[in-house]
Amino acid sequence: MTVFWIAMRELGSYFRRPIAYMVVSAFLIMTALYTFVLMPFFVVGKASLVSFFEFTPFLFTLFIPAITMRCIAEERASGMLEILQTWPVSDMSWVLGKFLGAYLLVSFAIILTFVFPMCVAPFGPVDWGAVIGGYIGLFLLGAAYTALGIFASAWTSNQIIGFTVGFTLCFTFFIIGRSAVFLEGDILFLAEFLSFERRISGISRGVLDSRDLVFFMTVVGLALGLSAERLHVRRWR
Amino acid sequence: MIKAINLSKSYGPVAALRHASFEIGSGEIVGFLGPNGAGKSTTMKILTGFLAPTDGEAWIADHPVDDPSESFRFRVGYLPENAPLYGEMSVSDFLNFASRLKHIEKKHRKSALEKACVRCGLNDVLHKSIGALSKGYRQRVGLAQAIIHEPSVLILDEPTSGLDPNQVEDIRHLVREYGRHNTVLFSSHILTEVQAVATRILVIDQGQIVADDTPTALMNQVSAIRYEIAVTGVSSTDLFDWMREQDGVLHCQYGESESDSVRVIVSLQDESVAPLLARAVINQNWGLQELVKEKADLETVFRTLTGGPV
Repeated sequence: MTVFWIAMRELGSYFRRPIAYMVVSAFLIMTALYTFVLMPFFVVGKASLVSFFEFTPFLFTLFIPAITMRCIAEERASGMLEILQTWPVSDMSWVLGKFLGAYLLVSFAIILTFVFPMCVAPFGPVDWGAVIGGYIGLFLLGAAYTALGIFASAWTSNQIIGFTVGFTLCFTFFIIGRSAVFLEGDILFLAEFLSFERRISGISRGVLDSRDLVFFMTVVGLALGLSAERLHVRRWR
Repeated sequence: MIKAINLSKSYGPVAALRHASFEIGSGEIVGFLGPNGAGKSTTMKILTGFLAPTDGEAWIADHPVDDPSESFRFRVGYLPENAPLYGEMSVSDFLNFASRLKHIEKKHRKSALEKACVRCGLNDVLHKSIGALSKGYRQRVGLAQAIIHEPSVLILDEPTSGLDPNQVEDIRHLVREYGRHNTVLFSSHILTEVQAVATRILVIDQGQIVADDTPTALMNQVSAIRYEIAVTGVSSTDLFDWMREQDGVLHCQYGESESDSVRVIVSLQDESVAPLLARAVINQNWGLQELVKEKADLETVFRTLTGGPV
């Protein structure tokens, strides 16, 4: 229950300030521009949202750290953390609550893009399997990015650093699978194993492998666990 | 209620707290007094479990503060210095949030909130956003979150800093009221404040507890050895020089001399020096007009104990 209240407060604070409106509308405008203007489906001649599902993971690497950068960093900078950490709430509950609050905002933004397939549908047959797969991929990716963003924010009291580190982590994990040119052998295997992009592309093709699910949940769990540990360790400095 | 044994805390090579030990019983209002940087905030952060000590142990209401279950957190309310709060939330939303996270049962939540608001005088601003409040009101919101779960130990770090005299009086009133049935530890570098509220004073300097007593006892301790002496038949410089050479006189300063007598204020090694000094003055064939034990204020006590100029 504690986690729920923290998440609700967090979500409320996004909407009490301009952040949520700014970031979500910027996200919608950019995805719409890319999907319907830059890579218009009617040029391709198919009622497909492939360009949307290719572009959004990249946009997420900027958009999600912009949401999460303040999560813990802001409270540490203002000193609010000092009050909160003396409340009877565990470090893990704080981190989970913050994660859930930010993830609900990310999910809200993703849900708003449900209008895109609706817009496309009248122009031809839509491969609904691919669309559903694509969205499952986005929700999983969103969770992993949000957790990485929180992890970056837990490390610093400076929001800009929180953003930069968060962006770097998300971007690196996304494209690491493309490093076949430089890497080989076991390291290449590891890079491909860690690549978010590879796993997402599988899911958006409609192949929902439980291993991918476990992978993303592990990333979320590790990032949040390390964030909570970071909060705990600071007390012992 | 609060027990600290041998607490030490170092930030890298800098020792902020050195072997501080004290015990505070139930129902005491203790003023934690010391110059800036003496280690007051560090001690409070350790007692609230926000910081871990480098060495030593602390208990709140019989619970060790490093207990992983952190059950002591239900028993302690804390207001750090310059309490930051969620500026974008309204007072009632924030206090509601605090009451939920402090595990106040649903049926008691409303009454706990009302009680805290009445105690802290927040009823007029309940629906305003915290960011729009004056510093005095924000401080009250900070206090309200600290007491909303009725902790048996209340720890306040510089609760009145930056407030106007009326607001200061409000906070003092609240501390006195709360301290009737609970333990309060508050820090300050303002002496009158500690004098006005505390039943006991802990003086800390350079990370060490240098005094621990009631305000009256502390003042007696210092005033016992300060005397003002008025003498006739000698110039003030001669008297001053002579005084400084006497055994048992630690310190001498000029007093406000009048037309018929000269005055000096002396700090003595102990009280037994005073009659010897009187006899010595008479042996010099001077007229001893007055020998008065000086009434020290806490200001003097503070400076004496913390090694500042008296």
